[in-house]
This record gives sequence, C-alpha cells and structure tokens, in this order.
Amino acid sequence: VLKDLKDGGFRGVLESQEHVPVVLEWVLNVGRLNEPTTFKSSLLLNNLRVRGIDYHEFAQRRHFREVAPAGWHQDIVDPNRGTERKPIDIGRLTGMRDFVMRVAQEWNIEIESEEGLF
Amino acid sequence: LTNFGISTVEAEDCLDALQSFYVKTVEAKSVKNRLCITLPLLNADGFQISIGLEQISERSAMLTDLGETLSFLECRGIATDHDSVKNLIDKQLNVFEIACRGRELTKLVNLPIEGLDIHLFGEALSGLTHLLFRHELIQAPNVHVFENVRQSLEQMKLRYVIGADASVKGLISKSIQVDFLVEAKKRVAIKTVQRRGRIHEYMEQWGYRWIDAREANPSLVRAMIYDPDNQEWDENSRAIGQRHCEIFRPYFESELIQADLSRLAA
Repeated sequence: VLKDLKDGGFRGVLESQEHVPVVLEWVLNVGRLNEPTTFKSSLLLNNLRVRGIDYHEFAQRRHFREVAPAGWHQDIVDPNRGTERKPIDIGRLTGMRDFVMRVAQEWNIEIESEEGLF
Repeated sequence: LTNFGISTVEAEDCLDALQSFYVKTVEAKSVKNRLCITLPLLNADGFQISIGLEQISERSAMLTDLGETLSFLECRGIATDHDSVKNLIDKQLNVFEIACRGRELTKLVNLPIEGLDIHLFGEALSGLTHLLFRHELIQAPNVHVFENVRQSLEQMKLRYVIGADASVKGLISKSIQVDFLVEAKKRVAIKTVQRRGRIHEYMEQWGYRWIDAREANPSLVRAMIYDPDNQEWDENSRAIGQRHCEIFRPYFESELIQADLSRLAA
C-alpha cells in the first residue's frame, strides 16, 4: 500500500469476511506526500463509489448551496438518495500510515500492518 | 414589477444578478504558503471547484489542483492510466497547457495574475471531472456462482484447488485455466460462468477448450456452472455446454450438482 501510495495511488480488492458476493475495492490517493490534507480515499462496491473521505479547505457547496463546513468530510453515497457529505473528525494526521489506519478503522477494514512498513 | 404587476427582465438587472452571484461564490484565503480560491464552477458531482495558487518567483506563480481532479476520477472507479481515458485526459491538458506531476495538475502563470488564467484552469478541471460520464462501469461478475460451487465442494468434503493451481493441460493449449480442480477418483475441472450478458462467443471458446482438455486427459470430468438469470443463453450456447460437459447446470441446482459430482467423481 505504501509503495503504491508513494507513486500516487492504490486500488485493491478487499476480501469480505461474510463471503458476500460483491467486489469491494479500496482506493487511496495522494496529491502531495508531505501534505496529509491532499490524501483521499474511497470504497467501491461493484465499481460504484459508496464511501469517500477527503479534506476541503472551504465549506462545501453543492450547486452553490452550503452543505458542510470546511475540513475533513465523509461522503456517504446511496444510489437512491444521492451523496451525503458529512464532516468527520479523523484527528491530527502525521502521515500516510495514520491516514490509512484511520480510514481502515472507519470502514471496518482489517489490515495486517507491520511497524516500519509505512 | 411594472404598474400592471408584471415582472420584466432588463439587461442591467441580469448583469447585477450574475455579478452579485459571482461575488458571493468566489472566495480566496491564504493557507500556509498558498492562496486557496473557490471558483464559480462545479465538478461532475455538483460540488464547487477550488484551486491553489503558489507564488514561485517575483513574476510567476503556479496554479494547482493539489491532486484533486485525477483523485476525483480514480476514487469513482476510473482507471486514469487506461489508454482510452489517458488519451482524453492528455488531450484536455494539452488544450489548456496544463502539466501533470504525479496526480497533481499544475499551470505556470505570469504575475500580476489574470482572472482569465484562473478561470480557464478551473474550466479545464471541471471538464476533466466530467470524464466520469464517459466511463463505462465494469459489470459486476457473477461471483455468487463461484461461491455456490465452493460451498458445494466444502459440504461434500472434496479436495480441490483454486487460482493458478486450478489448470489442466490440453493437447494443443499448454494450460487451460479453470476455477476449481477437484482431486477425486476422477479429476473434475469446474468452470463457473461469471460473465454477464451475451455468452455465445464465450461458449464457442470453451467448447474448443473442453475438447482440447479431454483429448489430453480422457478421464477428465468437465463441469460448467452458470447463472441463467444474468446471462443471455441461446440454444446453441446451451448445446455447446451440454455436448462438451459432463456436468452443465445452473448454480442454484446445488443438490443436483452434488449428485453429479458424487456419481462422476467421488
């Protein structure tokens, strides 16, 4: 994950513990390695985005109407209800490892991590 | 409103309304070593686009999207390094003279800054996000067919391999990849039909493969499990399956699949 992120992005298939017959993919992206606020992540269910976490410097306006304050947001996407963008507290990030672990925790993704790997 | 209570539109009113909208919409603030600016433009999800501006010398500055645009596409399942998408992105970047550094899109501009430069950069980013609609979703494979077969094999306590190990030699093909290779009294090669939609060409290919596999392994039991609800099976495609497979059944006939496996392999 770290190596791919250093190249700018990671996209990998997750294994469902419930053996649910869907393809779950985890996408992580980095704009600038030294700026955690440029890190982004999303969760794809059969190639459709269902969750997203990213940072925005300004209050978020959809069709120019404010829907969320500035800062870290989580998008909750429901095909029937559209995208809901909510603020999320992900604490102070020091780097990629923090971000990966925090997103994994938020979305119940179990990852094997070794100290020093990140 | 006129004396008769009818609303009329004048050019000046329109101009005022638009200018007031732009004033309310456009914001700029200083964050660390850059200016962050919101633009009167939307991305493909309907959210307002914002960019960064970093001064790099007395006379030049760099506009940046901080990786927002390509990440926007990738986080929505688009492979931006795929040839067809990459060509479209490159074309747009060339037109607007934008450079790509990793995931970050940037453009060098002269100072003092021109509003036009900022707006055109934003237009380019907005346009790129709309590539989302040129993207064809990959149809989800019928993973449940695979899962159903796996459960049947587990219930029967049969020894099997999956992945790269699940392959058989053909007389012509060196290796024919299947989904399960069951090691029982007779070897059983099982292919689950996971693709959706039209199936005819696929079955023609598999008809050939099954003949090739059988010629190299005369005792091999060939099995194909499918999902009639999510696949377009015509008469010929079914006939190929029935002719060349000892077990050819829809995935939901688990009991019959198990009975076939007991009879032919166990």
